[in-house]
Amino acid sequence: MNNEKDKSVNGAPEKNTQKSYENDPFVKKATAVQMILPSAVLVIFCIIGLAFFARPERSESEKRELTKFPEFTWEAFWSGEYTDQISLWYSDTYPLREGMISANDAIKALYGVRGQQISTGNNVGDEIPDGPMVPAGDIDESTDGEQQTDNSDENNNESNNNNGSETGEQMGAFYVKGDTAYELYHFNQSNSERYASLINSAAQELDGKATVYDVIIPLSYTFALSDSERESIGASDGIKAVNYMYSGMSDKVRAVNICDNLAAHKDEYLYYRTDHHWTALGAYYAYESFCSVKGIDPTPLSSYEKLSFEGFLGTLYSDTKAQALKNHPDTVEAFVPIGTNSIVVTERNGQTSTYQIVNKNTDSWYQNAASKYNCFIAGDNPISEIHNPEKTDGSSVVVVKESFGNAFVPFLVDSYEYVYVLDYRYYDGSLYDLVDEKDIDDVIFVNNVIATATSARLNEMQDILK
Amino acid sequence: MVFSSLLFIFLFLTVCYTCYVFGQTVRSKNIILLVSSLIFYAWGGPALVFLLCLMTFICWAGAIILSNQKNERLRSAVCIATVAICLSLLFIFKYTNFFLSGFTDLFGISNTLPSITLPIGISFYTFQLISYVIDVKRGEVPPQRKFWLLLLYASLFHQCIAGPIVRYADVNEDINNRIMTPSETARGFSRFATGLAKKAILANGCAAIADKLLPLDGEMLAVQTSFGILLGALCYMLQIYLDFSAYSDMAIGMGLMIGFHYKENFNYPYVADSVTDFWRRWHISLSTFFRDYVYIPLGGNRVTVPRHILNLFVVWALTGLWHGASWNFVLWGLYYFVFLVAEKYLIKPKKDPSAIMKALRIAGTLVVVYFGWMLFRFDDLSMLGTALKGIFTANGNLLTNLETKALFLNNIFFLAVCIVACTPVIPALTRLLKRSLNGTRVFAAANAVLPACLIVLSALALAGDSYNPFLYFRF
Repeated sequence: MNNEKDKSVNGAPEKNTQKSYENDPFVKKATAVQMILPSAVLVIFCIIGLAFFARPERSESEKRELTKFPEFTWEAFWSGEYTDQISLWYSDTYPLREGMISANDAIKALYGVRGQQISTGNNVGDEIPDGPMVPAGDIDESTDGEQQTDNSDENNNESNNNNGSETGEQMGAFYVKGDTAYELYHFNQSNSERYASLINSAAQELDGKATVYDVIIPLSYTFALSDSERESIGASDGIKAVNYMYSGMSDKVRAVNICDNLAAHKDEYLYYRTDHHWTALGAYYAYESFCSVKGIDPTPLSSYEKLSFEGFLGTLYSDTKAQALKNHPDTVEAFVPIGTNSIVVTERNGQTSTYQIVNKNTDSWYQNAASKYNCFIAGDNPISEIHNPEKTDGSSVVVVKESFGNAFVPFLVDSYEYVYVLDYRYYDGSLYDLVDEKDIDDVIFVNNVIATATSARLNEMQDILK
Repeated sequence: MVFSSLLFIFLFLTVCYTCYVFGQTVRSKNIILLVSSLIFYAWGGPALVFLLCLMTFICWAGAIILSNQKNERLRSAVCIATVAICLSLLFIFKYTNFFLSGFTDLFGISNTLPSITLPIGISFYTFQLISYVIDVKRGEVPPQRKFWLLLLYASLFHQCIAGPIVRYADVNEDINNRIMTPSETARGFSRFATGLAKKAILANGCAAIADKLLPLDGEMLAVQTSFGILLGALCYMLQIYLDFSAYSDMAIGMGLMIGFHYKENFNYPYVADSVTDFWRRWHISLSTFFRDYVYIPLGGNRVTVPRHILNLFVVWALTGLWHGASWNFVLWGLYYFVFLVAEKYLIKPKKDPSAIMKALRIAGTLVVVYFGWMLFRFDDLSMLGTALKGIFTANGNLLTNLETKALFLNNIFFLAVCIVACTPVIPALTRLLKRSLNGTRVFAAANAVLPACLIVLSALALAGDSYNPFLYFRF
C-alpha cells in the first residue's frame, strides 16, 4: 500500500487513469498469470534438472562424453574450479539438453537468409606454383612458414571433443550452399613440399622391398563448383595442388592420380553432402585408378553386395547445423567385399577384436545419424588386419591412411591375400618394421588434401617413417 | 555464477526464491538472501568471499565510528581513511600488474609479475561501499548498525558482480522493511525475463558474430574484409549494450520480484543526441557515482575554465581506468573527455527541434560511440591500428567477400531485432497501447505470456551455448 501512495503523490493526473486500468478485472487476472506462468516454468525446469537419473553421459550428436561431476579436492574448491565444473556439469548434462539444442538450431534458422553459409576459419591458401615442384634436398624437419591452417588444426586436435570430429582432421572451413556442405582446403606450399618429400623418403627406404603408391584425394568442391565460385570462397584448386605434389615425387613413387576418373564421374554421388568424407562410390573410382596404375583388373562394382544406410548427418552438419542439411540427410552406401567381411582390429585402447569390414550389424550404431561413416572397417584404429581366404598367393598391402582411407580399404580386399590398415594418427610403431615383418608387397598412402596441408598430420606421418 | 546459465536460473534462483517466499519475517527473508548471496559469490572462488567480508567490515566499522564523532575533522579523517583502505584493496587486486608492467616498460626493470586473480565484482562492490561511507559522512543516510545487513547490501547477488552500483540510500528502506506486491512481482518477472533473453539470445548471438569478424589475432584481423570489420564493430557495439544492460535488467527485475527498488542504469544510450547525452543514458549508476564523489567535490563546473577541464580530465581518466587495468580503457575514457570538452566549449550542439537535425545529431553521436567501442575492444593498440586500416583496405584486404556477405545475410533478421532492442521502440508502442482500456488489456495479455516464453527461449539458447562469458567480469 505504501508504494501506491508514493506513486499517487509523485504521479501526474494521467497516472490516475492508468490506475483505473490496473483495477480492470481482466488486467488483474493477466497480472496474476504474468507472475504464475514464469514461476511455473522455473519450477518445472528446476525439477527436471533435479532428475539426476535422467542426466545423459554422452552426446551422440556431438560425439563426445559429457562433462562429469567433478571430484572434490580442496585445491579445486578454493580456486573456484570445483564449482565451475559443477556449473558446466549441470548445463552439459541437463536432461533435455539435446532436444533444447536442436530446438534452438531450428530457431537460429530464422536469423536470416541461410541459403549460403561460409566459414573459412580465416585460412588463406598459398598460391599454387605453375611449374613442377623444385626437388628439395634433405628432408627438413623444421616447419617454417607455417600457415594458420596448422594453428587452427592443432587447436582442433586439442578441442577434438568439442568439435564433434573424432578424426582430428582440420575442420572449421566450410561452405554451405543449398542442401550441400563443402569442406574447404587451403593449399600450403611448405607443407605440400614436406608431404612429397615424406613419401619420397618412404619410397627410398622401401626401395626393393615394397612398391609405394600415393593417393591424394581432393575435396568435394573440386568437382562440384566452378573455378569462379571456388575462388570466391577462397578455396584452393584441388587438382592443381594434387598435381603439384605429384610433380615433387620421385619415380620410385607410383602416383595414383584419381582426379581424372573422379571428374569423369562428377555427377555421381562421390562425396557426402553433410560430411567431409567421400562415399564408397568415390573410393571405388579411386580404386579403379589404383588398379590401372598397378596393372590389375578392378573387381566390377556390380559384383559386390550393396548396402544402404539412410539418414546420415555427418561432421559438416554438426559444424554448421544447417537446417537444409538436416532436411536432406545423406545415405551411406557400402559394398561388401567378396572374399571375406572380417577384419581383426587393434583398437586405440590396445584391445584386439574382430569386426566386419562393412558393418552389417546395424543395431548398435544405426540409430545414431552422426556416425554412419563408421560402418567402414570399424572406424579409425591404429592397425587392422584382413585375411582373404580366397587368395593364397601371399600378396600383401599396407594402407597408410587417415579416415578417408576407410571407404577405400574394402575394395582392396579381393585383390590381396593380406590387407593391413595403418592409421598413422594412432599407430605408434614403424611402417618399415611392419613391411619387413609381414613381407609386404605394396604400400599405399591415402590422404585427403587437407592432411597434406596440416603439419600435425605430417608430423604423425613422419613418426611412423622410422 | 553467471546469471545466464542454466544452473543459476533453474537451480539457484528458483530454489532461493522458493525458500524466500516461505520466509515469515523480513529478518528471516534477509537471512535467506544473505546466505544465498554468499553462496552465489563463493561460486566464483570461495576464498574471495573473505575479501568481500573484510571490505564490508572496514566500511561498516568506519561508518559507525565516524557517525559517533561530532568533530568534523575527525569525521573526515575516518571517512578518508576508510575510503583509502577500500581503494587500496581495489588497487592491489585490480591494478598491481598494470602498474608494475608500466614501470617495467618505463624503466626497463624486469621483475616477475605476481599472479593476482581479479576478485569477481570487486569494482562494483568497492564503489557501493565507498558510496555508503561517504553518504553516512555527509549525513545523507543513517549508518547500518548491523554488520550482516551491510554485508547483505554489498553481497546481494542481484547486483554484486555486475552492477548497477546501487547506493545504500536507495535500498536502506527496502533492506529494513520491504513488501512483495503482486503487480511488482509480475513486473519483476517481465523485467528479468527480458534481461535474460537480451543476454542469452541477443548479446551472445552478437558476440559470436563479433568474435568471428573482429578476431583478437593480428594476422587474422589483417585479412578481414573492410565490410567485415565494420559489421563486426557494429555487432560488438550491439553486444556491449545488450549484454551490460541485460545484467542491469535482470538485477532490477530480480529486485522488483521481492520488493527491492533499484534505479535504472541505462536509458537507451544509442538514441542519445550528443556525447554528453550518451553519458547521461549509459551506465548511469557509474557516471552519477563519479559525478557525486569525484566531479562535484573537485568543484564541478563552478570553477575556472582550465580547472573545469582538469576536473573533467580526472573524471574521465578514472572512468576509463575503472573499466579495466589496461591503457586502451584509459584512452577510451580520455577519448570521451575530448568529445565532452569539445561539446562544452567548442561545438555547443544547438538543440534544433527539427527531426532531421535531431537524427543527424544522433547519427553523429553514434559514430563517436562506434569508434569508441573499437578502442574498447582491443587492449593491444596495434590491433586497433590494423582494424582502422582494414576499414580502408590498407592491409591489402578485400572490401568484402562471399564469407562476409553470407554471414551478414545469415543474420540479417537477427541483427534487425538487436537494433530494435537498442531503441525505445517497444516502450513507445507500450505507451500507445496503454492509452485505451482495450490496448491496456492487449498489453496485459501479452505481458502475461511473454516472460515465460522468453525464459524458455533463453534456456534453449543457453543449453548449447558454451560461449557465455560476461564482458564486465573484467572490471
